[in-house]
Amino acid sequence: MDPGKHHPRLKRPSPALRAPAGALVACLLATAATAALAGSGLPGVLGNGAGSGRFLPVNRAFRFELVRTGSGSYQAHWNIAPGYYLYRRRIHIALGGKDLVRSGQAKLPPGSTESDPQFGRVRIFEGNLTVPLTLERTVPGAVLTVRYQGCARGGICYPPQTRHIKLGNAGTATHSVPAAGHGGRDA
Amino acid sequence: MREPLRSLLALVLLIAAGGAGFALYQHFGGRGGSNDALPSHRIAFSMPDMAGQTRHISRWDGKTVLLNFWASWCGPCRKEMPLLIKAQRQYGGRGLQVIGVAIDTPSNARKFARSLHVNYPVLIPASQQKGISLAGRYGDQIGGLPYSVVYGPDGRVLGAHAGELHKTDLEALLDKALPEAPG
Repeated sequence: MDPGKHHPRLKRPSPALRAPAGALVACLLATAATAALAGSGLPGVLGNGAGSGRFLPVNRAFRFELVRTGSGSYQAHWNIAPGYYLYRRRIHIALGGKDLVRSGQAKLPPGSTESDPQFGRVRIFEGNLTVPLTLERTVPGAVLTVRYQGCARGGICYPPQTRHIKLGNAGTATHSVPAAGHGGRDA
Repeated sequence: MREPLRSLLALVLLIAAGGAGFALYQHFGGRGGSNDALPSHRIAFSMPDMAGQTRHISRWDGKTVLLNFWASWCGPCRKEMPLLIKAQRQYGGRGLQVIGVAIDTPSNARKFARSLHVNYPVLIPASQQKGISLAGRYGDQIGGLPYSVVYGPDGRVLGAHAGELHKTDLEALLDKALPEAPG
């Protein structure tokens, strides 16, 4: 090719075209660089979504609080994040070693029934769960123990959580300590 | 278009593209940055196996190890275990060693592992809290199960996976982590 000869295919683009083309190239470079940066320094050979970042920490998956609603009456409340659930059979509420669910002082709603490939028919809770509690003659400083366990539909389960809640003089919840507990029986 | 306006447009597009790139990475294969906590090398520990004999993890140095944290009360853990059994059978000859760490009571762990005829060692920490703590040191920041970590024969951690492993994930992992099959 004659270097001096003007070739139409090598013609410099007009300034009007240069700006969008430059921006497009910059976008592509930025996209590639971002993906590369995100991947660098994170050793990994596993497949999709290998990190635990796609799942919520347990305290955000199952937000728990105990609310005093009157003299000797409380509500245990869980706000369960979308895509997460609690097993009904793995909720235990006890005061001084007494099982309040069994005694009828903690009234668990029925929940919804699911067919679990591993555990058969199970009852679960999703969304908001409120359990009314009736605590007669509460001794000041008595400790309410609440245990629960749940999973994410995305394929992860959290170890059982145990909360010890010290009831104050007026029966007010004053102290809460989350702790992992025993797996116990299946749902 | 005037020069300042053009530069501003390019900057805005650059930021938007960066954001889009990051979002795409997160959605299609990113690890959410959560595994910044992943150690570079395997962490030394010892704990009893199902027979009660204390095992040190260095026993399996020189192999490609898939460390799987699980529990019998965890549905996704139970579901993925047959895959791990199959992987041990299929890739054991190429140097794979699956090791289970049960975040469970010893009796529940033993009962379930035996019911599946698990063909790899299952270690049971002295307490579930110790097992969760170990998983945390291996990068399991939320303490969820199952959680799997793979490291090479030199102990270098190659990757981790939170949640149930599916067949395609596992095969892709092991094909990359293990040496080529002979001949």
